[in-house]
Amino acid sequence: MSNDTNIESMIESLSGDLKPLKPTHHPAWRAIGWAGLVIAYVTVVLLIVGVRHDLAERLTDPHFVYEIMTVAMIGFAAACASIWLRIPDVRGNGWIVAVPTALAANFLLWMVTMGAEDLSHLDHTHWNHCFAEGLFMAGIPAIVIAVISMRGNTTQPYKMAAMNTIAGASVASIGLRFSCGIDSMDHAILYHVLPFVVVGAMLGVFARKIYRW
Amino acid sequence: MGPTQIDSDDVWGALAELAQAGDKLAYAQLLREISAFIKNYLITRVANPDWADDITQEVLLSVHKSLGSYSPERAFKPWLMAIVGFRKADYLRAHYAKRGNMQVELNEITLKGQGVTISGHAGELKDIEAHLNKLNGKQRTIFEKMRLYGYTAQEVADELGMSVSAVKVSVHRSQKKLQEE
Repeated sequence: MSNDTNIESMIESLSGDLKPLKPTHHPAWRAIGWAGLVIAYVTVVLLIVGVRHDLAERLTDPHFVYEIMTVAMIGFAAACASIWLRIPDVRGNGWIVAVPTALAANFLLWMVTMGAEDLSHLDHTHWNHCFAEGLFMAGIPAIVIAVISMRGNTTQPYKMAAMNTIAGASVASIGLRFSCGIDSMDHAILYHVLPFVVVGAMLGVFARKIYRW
Repeated sequence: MGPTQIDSDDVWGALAELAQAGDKLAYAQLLREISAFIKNYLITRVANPDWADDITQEVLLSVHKSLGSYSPERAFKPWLMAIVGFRKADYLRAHYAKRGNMQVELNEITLKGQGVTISGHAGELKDIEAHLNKLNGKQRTIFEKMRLYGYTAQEVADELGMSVSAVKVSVHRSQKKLQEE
């Protein structure tokens, strides 16, 4: 069978299988839906694991609120970018990846700068507690965004994996700031952010297989 | 962007919108038109014309899977070209990962009278032939039989009715002549 005949028979087969399709919703709606689910889920997890004893006091601290808002923005921007990346041409919005990337890089730089002097007296006792709680908080939101991504048609799997990692790490980071009573920045870097970035990066190695379509 | 491109983009966008609504005829027309376009686009960008056909088929399947993600409010061609680029890279990555560039299918071996299977070496073959042409007829015959086709001096001597030593001398002189070129 010649190649042209192959293509023609494929066209007949594909057009024969066609069923009416519902065009994909605007990505923003899906991102807002994901954000709503994340807020509800993290709230439930916090009710289960308990919040830090000084949360009411910390919420009056502008630095703490600013940090939480910044991480929330990073997470939402990463989720938006990931959902846009489900569409082959990103609907012409390829720049969207730059927003969470720049925000996350800036935030990490700030964390490292603030946490560098604390590294010498690092508290190791909260590793298991923070990692387990972080996984609990980020697990479902990360799985949901990964499933949304896998059901899409990305042409940029590595960028998508990076965005999903940032989104998942942001959720874990916010949740742990509400549950863990340690405020030192080195602890936040090493136990609240880094493990989730490492897990995400390890999964990202398989991005082409995970987001295959 | 030229006027033809704008027209095809508009038409394909309209056909894709009809296809999303379930119009099979419009969909078949869309796939036929874009398959020709994709093949023409790829044929100058990949090393083997058969690859262009394979990638075209991959792209058609991908278009089928992702048709719902096309937004009729946007141009069709950027959406299509994103898929084409992705599938082309995917295909070439898999091909080179399997060392496909170092393999030749048995049914694809066509020497085409050139005596080489690697087209990149065709220039070297021409150079060798140019040098061999500088030998006279009998010298060249003897040299080719012994050095290219692996005959022994005895076999060549028997075939050409010469002494073994005469054959060896001829080969030696031919070799020297070629080295001096």
